[in-house]
Amino acid sequence: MPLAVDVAVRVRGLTYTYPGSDVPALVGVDLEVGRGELLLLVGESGSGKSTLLRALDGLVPYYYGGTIRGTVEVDGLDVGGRSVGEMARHVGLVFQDPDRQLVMSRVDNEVAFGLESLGTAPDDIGARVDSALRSVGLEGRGGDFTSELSAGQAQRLALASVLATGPAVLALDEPLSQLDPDAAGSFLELLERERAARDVAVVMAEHRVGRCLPHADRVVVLRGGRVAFDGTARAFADGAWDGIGASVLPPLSQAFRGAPPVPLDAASARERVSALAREGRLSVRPRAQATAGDVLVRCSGIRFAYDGGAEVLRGADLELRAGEVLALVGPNGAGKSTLARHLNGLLRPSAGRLEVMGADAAPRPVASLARDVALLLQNPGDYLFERTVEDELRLSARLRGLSGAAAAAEVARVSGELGLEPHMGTFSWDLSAGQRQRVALGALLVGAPRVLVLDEPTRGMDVAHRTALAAILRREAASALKSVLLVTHDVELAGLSADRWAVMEDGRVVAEGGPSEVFRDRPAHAPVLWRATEGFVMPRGALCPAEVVVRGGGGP
Amino acid sequence: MCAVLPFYRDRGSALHRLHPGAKLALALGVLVASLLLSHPVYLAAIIAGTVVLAAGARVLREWWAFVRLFSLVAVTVVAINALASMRGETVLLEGPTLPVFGRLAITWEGIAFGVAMAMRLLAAVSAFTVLSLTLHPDELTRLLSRVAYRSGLALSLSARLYPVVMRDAAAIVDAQRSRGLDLDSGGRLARARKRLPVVVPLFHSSLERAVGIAEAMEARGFGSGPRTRWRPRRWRIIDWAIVAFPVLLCYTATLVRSLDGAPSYYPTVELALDQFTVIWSLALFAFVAGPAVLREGQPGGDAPGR
Repeated sequence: MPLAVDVAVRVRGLTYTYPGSDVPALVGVDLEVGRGELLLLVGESGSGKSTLLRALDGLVPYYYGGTIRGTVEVDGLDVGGRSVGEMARHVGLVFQDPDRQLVMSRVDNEVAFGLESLGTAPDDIGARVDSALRSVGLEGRGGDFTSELSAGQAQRLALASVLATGPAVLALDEPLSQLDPDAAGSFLELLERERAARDVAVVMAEHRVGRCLPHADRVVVLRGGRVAFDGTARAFADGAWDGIGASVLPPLSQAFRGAPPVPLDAASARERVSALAREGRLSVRPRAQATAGDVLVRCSGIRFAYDGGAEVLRGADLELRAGEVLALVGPNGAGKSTLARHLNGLLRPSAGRLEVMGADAAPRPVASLARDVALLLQNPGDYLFERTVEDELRLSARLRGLSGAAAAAEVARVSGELGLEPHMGTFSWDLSAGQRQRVALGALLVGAPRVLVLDEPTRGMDVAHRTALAAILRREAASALKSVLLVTHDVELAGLSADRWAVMEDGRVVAEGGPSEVFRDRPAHAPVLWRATEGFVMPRGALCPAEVVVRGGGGP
Repeated sequence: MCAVLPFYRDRGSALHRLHPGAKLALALGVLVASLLLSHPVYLAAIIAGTVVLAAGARVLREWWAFVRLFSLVAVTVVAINALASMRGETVLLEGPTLPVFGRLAITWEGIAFGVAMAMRLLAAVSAFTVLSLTLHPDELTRLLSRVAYRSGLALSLSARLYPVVMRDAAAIVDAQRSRGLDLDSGGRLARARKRLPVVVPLFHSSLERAVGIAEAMEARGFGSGPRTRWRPRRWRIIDWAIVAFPVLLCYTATLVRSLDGAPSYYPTVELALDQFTVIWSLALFAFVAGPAVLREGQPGGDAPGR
């Protein structure tokens, strides 16, 4: 049967199993995507999103092997029996990590690479490269090194490279996961513009559902390799469908699920809140406020410059108190990560003073400071090099000077708290990114350091992981009386976990305090629910869905 | 950290803008000439020529950073040769007699020969350092694409990923120090050994990245059929003219070798040293350094990387 003209992708009864696996990654998936349509693919890590995207151009099964049943048609062509190279003309695939997809050293050569591979006439390549770079806002950057681009620019370059070959379908695998909010916003706008201009079908897997939903026409939820939901973005947001937990729903859906239709962005949410508040149907029930204890870390007037460069920190002041989670937010390049690396001595200030546990930290080496300050950097895999998870924790115990029964007890305590018991015998590198992060966190928490610092812990992680991490952080602060510093662009994670906020701009902490004090002047750092509810409800705007109470409800 | 290996610097000099083949010819010319010659004066002339080339390409600072590191290797060559060579007549220092090796002695001839060999090595390394600093990795890919596209691509990919891997390594060291691993104390060797665990995550992340890039290349149609080439570099007159220099250089070196004969170091050092030595040296220097005279005003052509 010939394909209808307006259908770009048609998947029928797709079941696929990776080689060496007993469990299929996709089970009986049916899917259609029209030209010019943006389909958002939602699901937890391991639910089959990436696998489905790779089935569109034949990487699954031709690159990965494994067994496949069912049919995939793209642009009127049956993918089965065609090579990946042939499908590359019809499907443009963009991956999450720029470092894992850029091939050439020069920006314009990168765009030309795909065109050359597909045998485009040399005389046409130049014009196509120029136009693709122009459409992603990289005109004039053709001669630059790809390694000098920011993550946002690199991701736009990856998009330009596939747009240049004129595909009918764009398949994007978590393209925003490595980007900060600004870069993610401009990538989404770019995508919106290009899909309209080129009438290209877009299939995008993303964890930042709330961010993408206003741009999406349809949503497909995958769970355990099956399609759990297939419908309009509106129907998805309302959450009025069976078989799904709240874990994949964006915050606005979680909060307003009881009073549909759910608003999709902060502006329309404010209108809803205003109406609900007038009817007296909305209130905010703030979570328990931490009682801050002693100051465990004090930064005063810290200055720092990487060798030869301009000053990154220009007199930063910050206090971390026992029992509270402090969120450190601010634009890229403000110095947040640099400040975090001072707290355990990885970097040393050129001026100013750092006090840890009430004493000057300057004379203490990193190995000593690490006993008081646990610093979790962005890539958890960097922490792991022993054979198994248990070995990792045992090594940490040894580094803290624990042995015998004391070591075993401490390892058991940490693995229990973080839920690592089922993985103790697993090779760390066989775990998912989220699990690896938990192992790295465990390795740091052995010996019970009083201060925990995390740098962008949710980059590339799914929503369920964010919720679980927030719970861990609140527990560490509240019951273990730790001081937690959370350096993040993820305003929702901060909303779920923080007691206090500090904003860094231009190498200094320019604002700090409770949500109301900080967000009023800087709403960009506020969770979407705070932006929606602030000013309408008492005692303060809501920080997370659990704080919003909608009464009456039902709807029309 | 990235400064350890000589990596392309875009200085826009006329040398940068030469056809990659012409740049390669310059380096190969020096290599061949220094293999043909072993007279220290000639080798010194060639080395001096490469310094002028580096200056002409405005990469003198980066050139020195690497060549200075390499001079450690050169010193080692001299030392080993002095210790291991037993054939010289002029004994400077006599050591014990060892089985198999015989009498250990440091001889003037051994040192002199070591110095010549080190200079030969230095000349070649110096020329290829200049090449590496002026040859864009993408140019290398395109240059090799006629003969072996895949090998060329592998080379240029490693060049592209070099800074990324260095960044990874730095991040891993930070992470492990944050765990409380003491990587800082102890002597140089102890510190190096402590950094071994860095290799495990670095290996894993490099492997994951390699698989990812291979997949991304596949998805973009790499290897799916005959490739086309964008902006193929054409040989301009100036490129051909430049190739004349390494040709003349090799020709001169051959001539010198056949006229002078190879200098002899054992049992005693016999080096020709007359007015011809000076003339030949000047010629060798000129044929190495000549291309540095190119100026921007002259027919330059395209930007590098094309």
